Amino acid sequence: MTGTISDKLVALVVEVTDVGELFGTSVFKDRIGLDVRVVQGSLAIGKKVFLSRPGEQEELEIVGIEMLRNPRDPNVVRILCSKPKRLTIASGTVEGWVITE
Amino acid sequence: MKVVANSNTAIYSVDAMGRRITTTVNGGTPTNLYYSNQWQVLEEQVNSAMTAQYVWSPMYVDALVERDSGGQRLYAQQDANWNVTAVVGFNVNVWQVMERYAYDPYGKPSIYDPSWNNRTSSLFSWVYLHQGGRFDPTSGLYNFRNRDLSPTLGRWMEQDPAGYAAGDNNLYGDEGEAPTDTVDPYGTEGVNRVLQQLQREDELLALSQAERAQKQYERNLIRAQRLHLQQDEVGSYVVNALGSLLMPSTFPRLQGSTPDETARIMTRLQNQGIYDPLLNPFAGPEARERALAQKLPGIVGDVAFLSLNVFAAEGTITRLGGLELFAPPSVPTGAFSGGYVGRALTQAEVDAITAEFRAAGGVVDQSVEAEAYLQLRGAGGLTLNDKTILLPANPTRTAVFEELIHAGQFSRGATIEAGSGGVLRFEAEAAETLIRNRNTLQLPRDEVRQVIDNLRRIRGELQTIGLPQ
Repeated sequence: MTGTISDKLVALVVEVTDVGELFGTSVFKDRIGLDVRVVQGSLAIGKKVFLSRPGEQEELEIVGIEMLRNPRDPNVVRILCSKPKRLTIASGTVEGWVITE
Repeated sequence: MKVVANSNTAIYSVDAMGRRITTTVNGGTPTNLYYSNQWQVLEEQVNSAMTAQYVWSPMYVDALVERDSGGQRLYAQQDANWNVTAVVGFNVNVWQVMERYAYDPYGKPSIYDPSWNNRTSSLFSWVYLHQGGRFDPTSGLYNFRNRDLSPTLGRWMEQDPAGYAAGDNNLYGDEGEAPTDTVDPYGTEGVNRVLQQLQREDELLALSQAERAQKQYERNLIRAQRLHLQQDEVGSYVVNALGSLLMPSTFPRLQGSTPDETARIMTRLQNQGIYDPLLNPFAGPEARERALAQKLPGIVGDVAFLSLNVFAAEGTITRLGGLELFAPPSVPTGAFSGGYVGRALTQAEVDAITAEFRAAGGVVDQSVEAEAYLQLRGAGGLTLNDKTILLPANPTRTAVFEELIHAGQFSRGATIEAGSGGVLRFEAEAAETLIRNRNTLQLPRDEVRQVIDNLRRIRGELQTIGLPQ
């Protein structure tokens, strides 16, 4: 039996901000902001990831990572992704959504 | 130097610097003059006894405040061109105009009593008249330090010591022949008062932006410290003032921030015209009066500040003071971070610094919405990837360079690893780069100090979460 240690990204989504809706005339157009806590792997610009929860999944691209520390929890980082076309995800604090590679 | 006019004789002596130090009229006892380093007469003496003392304003070199002479104090009233228009003294138990003065354009004086009746000479031997210059009744000339001005001839009595610097070939011309809006206190360089005033205001505005921001920040820091210390008191007051509009449970939102961070966002909001310590957009004048009566000046504005955050967080307000407020359903307390207080750059300066970045395909978003987002995130700038930077309309120099450094980190393949403390390492690296290159980047010292403080905080956070600093 061969054991493997995965370095694939797994991040919990803790908060969602529809920046594309709120700031649509800026660089945030068609973007969604996801505050994520990285459990495994790494976040990188251009990485294709899946936003999912049981029974739902959509591929997104990480187009931005906010270089702004979060004093509440430094391990939580806001990433900007292309806006999901099929999934509906409410803004605000969320549970159950994950980002995987 | 001797002057004979109308059968009167005046003899002047001057010191090595050209200052007139004694005046002797018709062979009488000399009057000795003593000067400030601004060539202002501070005291007159006759036979070593003080006969007059003058107090000058720092506003302008010939702005006279008052003269004490013979036990009488006279306050000078001057117009916008520093012409003394009247003197006010204490008479019959009341301060009142004692004498009035009017001039033709080149300064020939007319003297009046308080009721505008002509006087042939001053009852008070008053000598500071046209543009605050010292008038010599014997010669009929004004002594403006380096030269004497003849108000009857409308010209200087000596050639311009500055030569042809005035730009014309008239070495005797007075103030570009525009004496009503020009002053020349040194007799060397007519200064257009209107232009000078405009320049001063421009300078003041330029200076005051930075100074005002700093002062606002300092005041807001005190206010924020008080808010943090008296959070319960403020909370109670808010509940009283705003009634059912505010849920007390929303107050913990502020508890994660430090007074320093709160002060920074207060200052930013103040500069945006959203926050005013003396103006509460929510509570009415009654509440303000109540606050003032409770000797808590500014507390109403602070209430407004708290309320603004709370209401924006709740999504119950989206617009205030003509500005759209963009708020997600919740505002994290972490929003109170980042940004430097310092001199705001002009757009040209921002463009110059970011030229290379933009030429390489980078985008610098300084739109209204970008700024609103920065306010929301409590950041003085923000980098999203190697090609995208958000900046406010007038960022500080340090903020611009910090974001360019972050863009560079992304272009070198920055990734956020699990358990690495998020972006802390990149923030620390950027701060270290700014500090190391502070001279090359010409960062203002006060902003560098803030970077150093910021770096200390970041290292503290890294230590707290058990990561190497």
